[in-house]
Amino acid sequence: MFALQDLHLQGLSLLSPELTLVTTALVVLMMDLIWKERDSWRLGAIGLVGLGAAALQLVSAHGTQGTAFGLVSIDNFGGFFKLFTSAATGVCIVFVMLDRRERRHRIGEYYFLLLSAAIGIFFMVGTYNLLLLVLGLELASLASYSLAGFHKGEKRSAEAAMKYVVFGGLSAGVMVFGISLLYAVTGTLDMRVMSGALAIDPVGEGVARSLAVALEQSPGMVALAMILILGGFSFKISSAPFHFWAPDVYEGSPTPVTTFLAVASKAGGFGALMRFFGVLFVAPDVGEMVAAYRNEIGMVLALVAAATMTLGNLAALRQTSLKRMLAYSSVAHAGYVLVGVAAMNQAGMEASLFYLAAYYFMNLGAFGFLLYFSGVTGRETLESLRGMGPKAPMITVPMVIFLVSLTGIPPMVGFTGKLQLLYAAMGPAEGLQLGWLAVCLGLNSVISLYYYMRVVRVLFLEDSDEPRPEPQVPMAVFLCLMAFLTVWFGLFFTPLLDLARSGMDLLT
Amino acid sequence: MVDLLFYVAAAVSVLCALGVVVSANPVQSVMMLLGSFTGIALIYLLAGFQFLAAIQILVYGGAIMVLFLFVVMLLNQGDPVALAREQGVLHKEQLAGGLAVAGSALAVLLVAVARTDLPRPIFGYLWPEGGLDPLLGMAQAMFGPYVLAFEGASVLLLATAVGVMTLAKRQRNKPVAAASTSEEASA
Repeated sequence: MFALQDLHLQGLSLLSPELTLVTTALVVLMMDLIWKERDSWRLGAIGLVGLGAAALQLVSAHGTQGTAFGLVSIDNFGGFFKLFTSAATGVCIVFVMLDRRERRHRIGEYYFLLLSAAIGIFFMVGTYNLLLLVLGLELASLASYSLAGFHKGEKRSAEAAMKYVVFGGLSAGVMVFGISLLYAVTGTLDMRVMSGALAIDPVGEGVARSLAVALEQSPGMVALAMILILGGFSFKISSAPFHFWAPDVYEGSPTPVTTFLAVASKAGGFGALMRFFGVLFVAPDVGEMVAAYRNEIGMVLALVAAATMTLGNLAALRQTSLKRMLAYSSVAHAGYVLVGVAAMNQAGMEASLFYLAAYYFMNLGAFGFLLYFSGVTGRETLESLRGMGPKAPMITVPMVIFLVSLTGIPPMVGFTGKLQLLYAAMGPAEGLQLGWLAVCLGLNSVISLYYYMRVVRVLFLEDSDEPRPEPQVPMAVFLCLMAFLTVWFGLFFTPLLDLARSGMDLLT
Repeated sequence: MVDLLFYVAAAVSVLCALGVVVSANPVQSVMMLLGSFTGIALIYLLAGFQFLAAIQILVYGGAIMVLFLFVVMLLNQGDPVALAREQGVLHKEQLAGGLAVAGSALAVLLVAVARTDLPRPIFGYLWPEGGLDPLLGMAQAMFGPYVLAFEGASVLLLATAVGVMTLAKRQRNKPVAAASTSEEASA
């Protein structure tokens, strides 16, 4: 029975990154009311300091194992995604600070909602409890809905918010339905109790059955629950068949918000998905029955991965807007990351974590480029980039590096990541054949080469008499840094690999 | 008896939910929603959650429903001709497609339920002698093991409130000329 003395400060100290972020968000909201500055950089600085403090706490807590309040689990796997989220949210705040058009809007609320979404992702990736997972997912989603519609006057932005809300509501309903079915057959909301790793539910009461027992007694219900829950995750990571919202929402949202959705929010979805399927099916001590079932789940994930990358890449071929093209490219990349998860073993999960880390550098860079050019020219079409290459080399050369890395050409970090995913697909869990998925991954990289290189061609090989764009030093510095890291981690990838490997304490 | 009541309540809530979507008149939709909420409250009651049932009626059936009615009656519903055209948008093919998807989902669910070895009857076994004491049990769960989720919900509500207010509030003394289109959109 739960007693009051269990609520010790020890649990609170484990939650210090979350508490830091909540405090930061509240301070931003209050200072906005006190300062009343429309164009305040000070608020952004507060947000960055808070995120930095949270990131420092996460780094210093690396290797700590523990459970706070029986709900939040402190481990390296969650730490990886929390660090990722804070870093990505920090970059989004910098983007808002650099973009004059963004600062017109209610800046305090802007930062507050970004930070709230980050808190939601923190809860989502750091818990074994499905209740808290749904709560975090909803917090992240609800904050993102309002952010997508932040350019109130623009029709596209309003449309993006509307589509996002409708799709998000539907998929959240689907997911909660799946979770309720899973609860009905197992009697617990804790993934570790379902997998049999824990005998007693830390928060629930009554008799819980493990997934192995549930599979024996009601296989149909478990299958249905898994598919429905996968549907909910699919929405968050924008994989097929729940990816239809992504291009429209990404295109209509303000660019910093698009960046957040494509990088932080997507990684958060992957964190929750990998924890769910990892703990239930991949952990070493799952029973024979569950291990057999694992391969079926792996096959479903592999099909989803193949469909996602193919649909994303084929649609990206036809785009004339750079923003929409990057949106489809982000859909395709969700498919790539899923390849590692579909392998259903530790090596696969490691490859997925590595690829997400690589995705961070190259995608943030690409979106920074988009932000700069749409700020300078006011347009987002490929046409408007014509001949810009030699005119702003500090911006366009990094972009070429990002595009090469997104395609997966050596020596960039995108290549190293894709190589690991290929290995993962070649050596999946016992009894799973994913060779065809490796072929599919290779073919898709070739398709993507065409539309990524089209941007390079427009930038450097075509001419126009447009004036030289106005330089923006901080953005150029940021892009050069990201480009440097993209190349650096492509050559010396051991630190990233170690980070990904340390996240595998999930499976022990 | 309890089983029969359950099927009645379930049928009422599902049919009313359907009515919310298909009825042409917004006020009628809101009234249908009230019926659906009441059906769900009855299901809570049958499962032994008297407190939840009462809250469902008070909060959803009472407060939220009144707000919905206010919104529907106060806001401009738009041109009736345009509304009628909107409702005609759903073609026969689309309707058939939607029904096919919903029907197959229902079939899958029914098969899964039929092949499930869950304790039967659905209700009653949850209900200890003399009824549950749901309020105490709920409070203990909410402020005991789940206290973190409870506090997390407060962040969620705050973020939602801020988000909604940002979207709903009109921009005053706009600094940049480009915002002139926003007036038309928000009007």
